[in-house]
This record gives sequence, C-alpha cells and structure tokens, in this order.
Amino acid sequence: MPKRWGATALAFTALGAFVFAAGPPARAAGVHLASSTLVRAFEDRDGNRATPVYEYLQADLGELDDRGVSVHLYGWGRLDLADDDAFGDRAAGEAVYAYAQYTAGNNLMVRLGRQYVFQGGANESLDGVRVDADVSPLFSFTAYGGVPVAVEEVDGRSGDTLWGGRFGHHSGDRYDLGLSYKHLANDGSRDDEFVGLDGSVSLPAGIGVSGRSLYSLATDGWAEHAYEADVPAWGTRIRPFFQQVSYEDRFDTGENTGGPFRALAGSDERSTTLGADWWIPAAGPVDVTVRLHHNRYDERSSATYAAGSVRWPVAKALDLGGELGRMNGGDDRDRYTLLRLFAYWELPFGYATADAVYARYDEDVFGEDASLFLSATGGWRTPVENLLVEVNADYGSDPYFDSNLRAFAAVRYVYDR
Amino acid sequence: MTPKRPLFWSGLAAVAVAAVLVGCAALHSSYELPAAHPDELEPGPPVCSDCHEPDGGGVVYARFDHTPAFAAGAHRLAAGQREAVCSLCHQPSMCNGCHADAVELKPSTRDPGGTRRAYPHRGDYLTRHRIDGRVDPAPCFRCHGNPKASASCRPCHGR
Ligand code: HEC
Ligand code: HEC
Ligand code: HEC
Ligand code: HEC
Ligand code: HEC
Repeated sequence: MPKRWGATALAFTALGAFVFAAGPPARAAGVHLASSTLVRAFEDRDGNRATPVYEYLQADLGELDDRGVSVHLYGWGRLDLADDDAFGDRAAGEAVYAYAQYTAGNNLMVRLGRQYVFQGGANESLDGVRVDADVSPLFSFTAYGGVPVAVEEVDGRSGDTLWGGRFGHHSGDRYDLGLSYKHLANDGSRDDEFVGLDGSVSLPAGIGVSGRSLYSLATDGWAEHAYEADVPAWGTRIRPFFQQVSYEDRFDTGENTGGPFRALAGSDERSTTLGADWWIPAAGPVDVTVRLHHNRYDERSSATYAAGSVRWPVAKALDLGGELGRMNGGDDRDRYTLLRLFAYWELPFGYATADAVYARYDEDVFGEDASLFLSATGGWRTPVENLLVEVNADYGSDPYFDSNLRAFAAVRYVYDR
Repeated sequence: MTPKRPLFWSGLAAVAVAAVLVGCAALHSSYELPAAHPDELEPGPPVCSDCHEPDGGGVVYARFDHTPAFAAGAHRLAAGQREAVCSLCHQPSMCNGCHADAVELKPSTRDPGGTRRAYPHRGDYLTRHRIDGRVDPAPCFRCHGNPKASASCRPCHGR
C-alpha cells in the first residue's frame, strides 16, 4: 500500500527535519540507531508464495542518559518481492512511534507525537501529548490526550479522540494507589470509557500484594478484577493470582470491537481464573517454573492449564530448556498437550539456537491431531562492530499446513554515539 | 459549631488533610528516578533485588524482579503503575516487540534466534489459539483488543 508508505515516510522526514531544524543541542547529544533488515520466504495458507523484505528502524537522538530533550522514532516497512498477493490489503508499514520527549526534576516527563501509553491500565497508541509529574512526594499524575491510532481504519480519523490519565498516591516503598480514567471516541461517539483502580502494598516478610479493577462506564459494569501476591519463601517465589472478567463489559468496545471479540462481547459469560506461578530458581543445577491456571465460567464447564518449565545451563556457553504443559478443558476440543524443547549455544563468533514445539490435540482439527514445529538459527557477529547476520530455517507440519519449509535471514546493525 | 453545618466541617477536614499533605511534602523531598539505570547490566533478565534492597527508597525493587512469570506477562500491573521504571532500561520499541498494534510478525518469527525469550505464540499458534482463546480471552484482548491489533485475525474472524 504505497499510501501508507507515504504517510510513514512523511512522518519520519518531518521529525528528522524537526531535529535538524532545532539545531545541534548545546551539550553532547547521544545518537542510537538500530536497524533490522529481514527477508522471509514462505508459502501462505492459500498457497501464495511470498518473499517479503522488512526494514525495522529505530532512532533515538538527544539526551538519552540524562534529563533534557530527546527524539524517538520507530517504524517498519515491507516490500514483497514475490508479487503473489500474499498480504492482500494489509498495511505495508507503520510509524509505530515518533515523539519528542522532555524530562526534568520532580519526575516531570512530557511526550509529544505518536507514542504508546501503558500507564494506568491504558494500552493505547496515541497521536498527542502526555504529561507525567509528581505534585508532591505523595502524589503524582499522568495525563494524556489526542487522537487514537488504532481505530483509524474504522470510519476514518475525524471525530476520533482519546484522553485519560492516572492520579496516584504513594508512600515511598510502602504502597501505591491509583485512580485512572480513559475515554475513547470514534467518529464522535464514545466507544470505550473506563475508570480503573489500582493498588500495590508491601507487607512484612517481603510479601507484596497488587491488583487492579476496571469499571466500564460504556456498559455500566465491572469489566475486570485482577489481584495477585508475590510471596518469597525458601529461596523461591510464589505468585498466586485471581482474575475475574465480565465478557460484555470487557470486550465490547462498540464500533471498534475486533472480529475475534465480537461474539464474546455479545455473551453474558463471566470467567474467574485462579492460579499460581511458582519459580524455583535453584532446584539443583536447573531453574524450574511451575504454572497452574484454573478457569471457571458462569456458563461453560471449567478448564485447567498446568505446566512445568526448566532452564538448564549445561555449560557456560550452552543453555537448554523446555516446557511441558497440559490444557484440560471441559470437553475434548478444549484439550491439548504441549511440549517445547530449545537450545541456545554461544559460539566464539556468534551463536546457534534450536527450537522444537509439539502439540497434540485430544480432538482432531481438520483431521489432524498434532502440530510439529522445528526451527534452527545461526547468528554471526561480523568483524564490523555491532553488525550481526542471522539465518534461520523452520519446518511446520500441522492442521493448517501439511508440511511447510520457511527461510529467514536478517542483518541487524546498531550504532551508538 | 453544631453538627448542622456539614459544609463547614468537611471544608475544615479538607484544609486539615491538605495541610498534612503539604507538611509531609516539606518534610521529605520527592524521590526522583534517574534518567536511565546507572549501571550497565549483564544480558538476560535482571533480578533487581539481587543488587538492591528488596524495598528501599522510592522503588519496591522486588516488584520489578524479572522472574519468568514477570517476563511472560506478570509485569502488567507494575508497568501500569510505574511505567517510568521500565523506561530506565527499555526503549518502547522493546515493549512493541510483543505489544505493537501493527508489527505484523509475531515475536518469535521476527527474532527466531531468541529461544530464551518469553515470547508468546511459539510454534503453530493458529491451531492452539482456538483453545487458548476460548479458555481465557482476556490476555488476548490485552494485545489484540483494537482494530489495528486484530488486522491479522480478519481473514478468519471478519471485522
Ligand atoms: C547487577 C546489579 C543490578 C541489578 C540486577 C539492578 N540494578 Fe539498579 N542499580 C545498580 C547500581 C550499581 C546502581 C547505582 C547505585 C545506586 O544508586 O544504588 C543502580 C541504581 C538503580 C536505581 C537508582 C537508585 C537511586 O535511588 O538513585 C534504580 C531506580 C534502579 N537501579 C532500579 C533497578 C531495577 C528496577 C532493577 C531490576 C529490573 C535493577 N535496578 C537491577 C545495580 C543493579
Ligand atoms: C534495571 C533495568 C531494567 C528495568 C528497570 C526493567 N527491565 Fe525489563 N529487562 C531488562 C533486561 C536487561 C532484560 C533482558 C533483555 C535481554 O536479555 O536482552 C529485560 C527483559 C524484559 C522482558 C522479557 C523480554 C523477553 O523477551 O523475554 C520484559 C517483558 C521486560 N523486561 C519488561 C519490563 C517492564 C514491563 C519493566 C517495568 C515495569 C521493566 N522491564 C523494567 C532490564 C530492565
Ligand atoms: C515478551 C513479550 C512481552 C514484552 C517484551 C512486553 N510485554 Fe507487556 N505483556 C505481555 C503479555 C503476554 C501480557 C498479557 C499478560 C496477561 O494478560 O496475563 C502483557 C501485558 C502488559 C500490560 C497490560 C495491558 C492491559 O491492557 O492490561 C502492560 C501495561 C504491559 N504489558 C506493559 C509492557 C511494557 C511497558 C513493556 C516494555 C517495557 C512490555 N509490556 C513488554 C508480554 C510482553
Ligand atoms: C503480549 C501480547 C500478545 C498477547 C497477550 C497475545 N498475542 Fe496474539 N499476537 C501478538 C503479536 C505481536 C502477534 C503478531 C502480529 C499479529 O499477527 O497481529 C500475534 C499473533 C497472533 C496470531 C497469529 C499467529 C500466526 O501464527 O499467524 C494469533 C492466532 C493470535 N495472536 C492469537 C492470540 C490469542 C488467542 C491470544 C490469547 C490467548 C493472544 N494472541 C495473546 C501478541 C499477543
Ligand atoms: C486461520 C484462521 C484464523 C486466524 C488467522 C485467527 N483465528 Fe481465531 N479462531 C479461528 C477458529 C477456527 C476458531 C474457533 C472458533 C470456534 O471454535 O467457534 C478461533 C477462535 C478464536 C478465539 C476463541 C473465541 C471464540 O469465539 O471461539 C479467540 C479469542 C480468537 N480466535 C482470537 C484470534 C485472534 C486475536 C486472532 C488474530 C491475532 C485470530 N484469532 C486469528 C480461526 C482463526
């Protein structure tokens, strides 16, 4: 899609021009550039051949290790050398972010431009402004506003607005409580409006408790509650957690509801998940993690996922690892067994890695009862400083592909000054 | 001075609270995060409380320990409360590797050599996702919950 490419290129040129027009900063400014050029060769689900070349480019300029002004750019583009229409009308590139940042005392931070906001239960891409600051040692806030990026394909961008923030009260290392709000309108109509409460507390014996609840003002109901604890014991870490989600209140975002979530948003289902992760960092020579998730529903029968994974540093240069998991749902179609084994081998001039993932389904999918995926990668740290060349081949045999071999190569370069 | 003047009493309470807050503010100076983590770290996920007191100063370090669960998604509460701590060490592009609305490639395809990373969706996920998605769609929504982040789902799920 040349139109999208044009917009991406324009955004980057404009920001580049802004940086140069602003002139060389008085103090020594840092420059960080990272480029990844990838080539893949594969056949898609419909038998189209594809040979896309991707460029992922990141640039950070200005005060990178100090307070002050900096500019941050990140985006990617794709060009398919085999013109078999494997990508249909999907966007061929994206300016993921492009913003200028100013930081100063009192944890003040201002960001202007295209950016991601994660603070306060948000998870949004925004064209606009964000301000973070402390108002006293006990209070701080984050506020953002502008035009949302993710809904541009729905009714264009006019009338789209996104704003919100978080107000936090905290006491050093004892607790942190927050009240957050988010309002997203598409084409002038409110599609998403949330109030969030979050909290974390440090208790004696190193125990931490934290959580968050979200209330949807658009549907007038609690969308989710998620609470967890972090318990250090016997040199291990136990993380019990609880999550409750009301499908209608969580997944219904009006016009913007994505395909996979449409049917879910229309149901009255409510799920409750109880679970725990248990990390045992020094179980003999290996590092073990045990994970248990138990899901209950108002309408369906329950499901449990249990898994154990290990990480084994066999030698200084060789890491082996694996995971064995079992999903046990209410009926056969919700059951599978998963096995993964991998290796990472550090070599004098680079590295070699291998990965194998095998899944077996209790009920056939398209007449198949298993998936196998094998992948091997070699990386070469070239004599040119920070220039890395990587090649990979993978093989898949699964319900979607009888047997499929894919190739991948990458050139990765980092420049720092 | 009778309880019949609620406005007066709540006003007084508000002033008292404000005075206490300002007082506290004057007593302690605000804890300020540095612009970047001062110490160069080894590659691999750091356990903050190996080097820092688990809770000390203005950061509860143990909360940011990069345990396997933290790397695989349990960072979400800590990130939602203190994204600025993440920024000490990570540029947003690192988060976008797993989170972007429009990165197109799944993380393990873009970085196939990263076998030790906590990437979601390894192997054939098209088949497995039907089960994971039915069992708990909430995590899926956290990454695919808007039109741009569900672009690759459209051929099968419609819009
Ligand atoms: C290898 C040891 C090491 C690890 C692991 C480590 N740090 Fe640090 N950190 C340091 C050193 C050294 C300093 C500078 C001295 C100081 O201020 O304590 C520092 C400073 C800091 C500071 C500034 C402290 C202040 O008040 O000025 C913060 C905040 C911080 N680290 C956060 C973290 C977080 C969060 C993690 C885990 C994700 C982490 N660190 C992991 C060694 C480490
Ligand atoms: C003190 C520095 C430091 C801080 C602070 C820090 N990280 Fe990290 N983080 C790292 C390092 C180093 C790695 C390992 C990266 C590598 O191996 O290349 C890592 C890895 C991760 C990974 C795993 C990536 C993977 O693919 O396995 C996630 C997720 C992550 N960090 C999220 C966060 C979040 C969210 C925060 C804030 C709440 C945060 N980090 C704060 C240093 C830090
Ligand atoms: C290795 C992949 C990976 C990386 C890298 C990563 N995340 Fe995440 N993140 C996840 C997963 C998986 C979840 C969903 C967890 C769940 O729902 O249980 C998540 C969830 C979140 C959420 C909650 C979103 C919501 O809508 O509730 C926030 C906030 C978040 N991550 C912030 C960050 C930040 C900030 C960074 C970069 C410093 C980062 N993440 C990097 C995998 C990753
Ligand atoms: C940490 C963020 C994150 C979470 C959580 C997440 N995904 Fe994804 N997923 C991605 C990214 C990034 C991609 C690659 C880009 C794309 O296809 O949109 C992807 C791709 C996919 C694909 C296409 C895979 C392929 O091989 O082509 C499916 C299917 C999918 N996700 C389903 C799910 C389901 C179901 C869940 C919940 C059980 C989920 N995802 C949770 C980030 C996430
Ligand atoms: C190749 C086709 C295909 C693609 C691409 C695809 N899905 Fe699915 N998905 C399915 C099928 C088939 C089901 C099972 C439907 C059923 O059993 O009713 C399913 C089920 C789901 C479910 C379970 C909920 C339900 O209604 O059953 C979720 C959640 C889901 N998909 C999310 C995603 C997301 C997110 C993406 C994109 C990142 C995606 N899917 C891409 C085919 C696909």
